[in-house]
Amino acid sequence: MATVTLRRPHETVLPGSDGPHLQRFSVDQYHQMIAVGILTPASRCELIHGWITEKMPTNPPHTQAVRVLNRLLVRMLSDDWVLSPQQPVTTADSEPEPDIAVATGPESKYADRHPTPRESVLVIEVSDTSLAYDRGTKLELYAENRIAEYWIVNLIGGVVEVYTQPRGGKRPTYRARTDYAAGQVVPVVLGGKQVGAIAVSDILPGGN
Amino acid sequence: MSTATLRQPRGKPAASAPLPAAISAGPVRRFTIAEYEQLVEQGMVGERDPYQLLNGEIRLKMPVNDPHTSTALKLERRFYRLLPDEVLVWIEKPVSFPTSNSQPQPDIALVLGPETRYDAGQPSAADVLLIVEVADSSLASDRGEMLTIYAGGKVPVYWIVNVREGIVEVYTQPRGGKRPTYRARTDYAAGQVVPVVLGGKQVGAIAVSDILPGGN
Repeated sequence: MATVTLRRPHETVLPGSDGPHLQRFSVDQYHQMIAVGILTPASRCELIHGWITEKMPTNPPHTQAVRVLNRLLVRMLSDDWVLSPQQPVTTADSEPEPDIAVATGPESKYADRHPTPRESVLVIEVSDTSLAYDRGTKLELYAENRIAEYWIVNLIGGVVEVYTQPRGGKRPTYRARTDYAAGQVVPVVLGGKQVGAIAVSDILPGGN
Repeated sequence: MSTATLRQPRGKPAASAPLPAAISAGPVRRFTIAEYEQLVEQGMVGERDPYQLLNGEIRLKMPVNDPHTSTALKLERRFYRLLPDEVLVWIEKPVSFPTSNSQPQPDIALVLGPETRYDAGQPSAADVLLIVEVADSSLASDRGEMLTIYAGGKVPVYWIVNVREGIVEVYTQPRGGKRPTYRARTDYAAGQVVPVVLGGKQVGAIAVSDILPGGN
């Protein structure tokens, strides 16, 4: 009897197209899991097209950018708008948690449910390691759901990427993209109206 | 594969589909056995399609083809003839492996009886004397992920009935740790007999030609 040394099997977290098939869940099932306590806020999960994924751990530059954006937007926005940092937006098959989301008011609407995409007029993701994902899957998800304004605060590139004019179809995307660098100001446009502006230098590392 | 752009109604989504590359910046969320069983109980898993829990991931069990079924059946019958009463033949039923957050459904598991032992819950790794996977298209997974799970659970004997190559691969001496594996492997081909060893004792043997397609 010969002894064979067995190699370590290859492990994949996200299987390729010919890999094992993972279960997908509906939004209602996802909510049910939260209701029975299988998923909690500490789980830091999102539901993306039926797959329950874990959000990447955040680091101080990421947290700081969210903090600054939150502070500037709070001062800028009237009660017509509801500002929610890192709270769920519920679509037909997903429940992402953008770093910042601005939805139409009044606030009381959201006492027992999350904003829908139609109510979400601006979504912001702060990006460093997740840049490809925020420009890929997340962008498609927000475009598919016709969220009018989508910002990626690109910490690595030092720019704020503003995506507008969402388009659905087979490959949802945004028709327009404008980048703003340090020294420039990003207009804050809600429901087609500009309500203020934010200086890029205020939110990117190295700013005041 | 293009990223998913499916318009889902608010009911249940399509049962499962391969995960597109870069669906997520972070990993897919893994579940513990307790959470998985809770989901099964709530009817959220396995109602329509058979699923199993492997390393915390809920995965569809791929449908099997005919050679697989007939091979498993032949083995099953021979085990029943050989085994003492106190050993149960567990066919495609869940077995829990807590250390790897897995609850696979092996093709055949020989588990310690009596039957009433499992009234309150599934057998776990410690209850298992021998596992058999009939491998056709699943060979890579049976030699890879499944082998790691079974070795990690210290299942003493693991058979892979390799339908394509016409051999039975017998793995013994499980070793745990970071990369669980089996220290020994012996292959048996047509014309040879595979000893059935339970708890270190041989209780009988099964001829390879009796169970593999193309045999007598």
